[in-house]
Amino acid sequence: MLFLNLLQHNNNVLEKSIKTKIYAQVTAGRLIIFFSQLLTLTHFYTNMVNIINLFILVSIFIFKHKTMDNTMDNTTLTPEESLLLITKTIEETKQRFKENGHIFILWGSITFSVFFLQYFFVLTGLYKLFDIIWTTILFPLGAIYTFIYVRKNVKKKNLPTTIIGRIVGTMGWTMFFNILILSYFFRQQLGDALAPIFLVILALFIIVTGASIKFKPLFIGGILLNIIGLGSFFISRDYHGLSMMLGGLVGLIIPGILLNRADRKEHV
Amino acid sequence: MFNDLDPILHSQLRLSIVSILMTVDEANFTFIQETTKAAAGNISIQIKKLQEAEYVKVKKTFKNNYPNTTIAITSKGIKAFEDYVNNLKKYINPKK
Repeated sequence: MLFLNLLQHNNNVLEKSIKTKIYAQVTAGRLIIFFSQLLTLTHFYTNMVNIINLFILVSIFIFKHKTMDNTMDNTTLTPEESLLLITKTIEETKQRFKENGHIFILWGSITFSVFFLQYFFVLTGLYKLFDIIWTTILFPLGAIYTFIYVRKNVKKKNLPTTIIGRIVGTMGWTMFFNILILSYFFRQQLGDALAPIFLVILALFIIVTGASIKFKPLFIGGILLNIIGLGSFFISRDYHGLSMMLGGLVGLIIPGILLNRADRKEHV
Repeated sequence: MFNDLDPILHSQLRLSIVSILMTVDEANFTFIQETTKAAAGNISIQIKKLQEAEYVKVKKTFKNNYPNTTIAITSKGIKAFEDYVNNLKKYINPKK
């Protein structure tokens, strides 16, 4: 009984296979005791029972100590193995945070569609029916979708927060609200500079994100978008819509598709 | 054999847990389990050991009525990990 109590006390610590081994030992010990007790007619056998009892007790203690140590330390690592393990674990953790480009493609498509529709409505004379307010409704809708998508993704994958995630997230939301406020409330003050400023702010976000996640096409896309933004200061306001469409394509849609391809390749 | 290597970190699972925690602000138990693919009981033991060494801090809360354990590395843990990696480098490249 004493042995079983000892085992129960350490039940949560010992591995299943180890437990089986100990139980086997105890069972064997108890059988010996049982048969010995049958033969305890003389003093000799009583002493033998005590000796066996003590032997089993000591062996279980030694065995248990060894197995507990094993579960704690698992295996002995060489320095090379340790470095490999660290690299592998960090790489695996990073893989779980990999961006699939979905949000970039979404925002690129929204930007492209909004300005394409504006041109289309101006050309077809339907501009009064579909005022800029109607087309820009797509931006808040995109923001709502992004919020739900990110939250769902984090919950589904059990993702913890990271420094990069926080920087990119905070920058993204700050950029979004600033662009929204500028385009709704400071349209007149900014005049012709609205679209170029919009593009430069967006470029800043994309460059930082590309550099943070170490994805070159996104970084390059951001730089090109920045050039398009600065170049837009020198062209007529009538063509700013085209700049926005080109910016959405170069800075968001193309890098987004490449990011999605890279993500798919790694998961194959 | 490797005297300079921190015995707390010089174990497969504990090293994996600390490596994960070095890349994130904090991680919940499920994330660690999914990444290391180790048994929950074994992870619990190793986290307890790391907690005793003050390398990690454990926060137990409830999320949607379910227990949620989050683990974060401490500054002592970061220092120990950096020292451990530096010592590893010394073993691999003793001349440097």
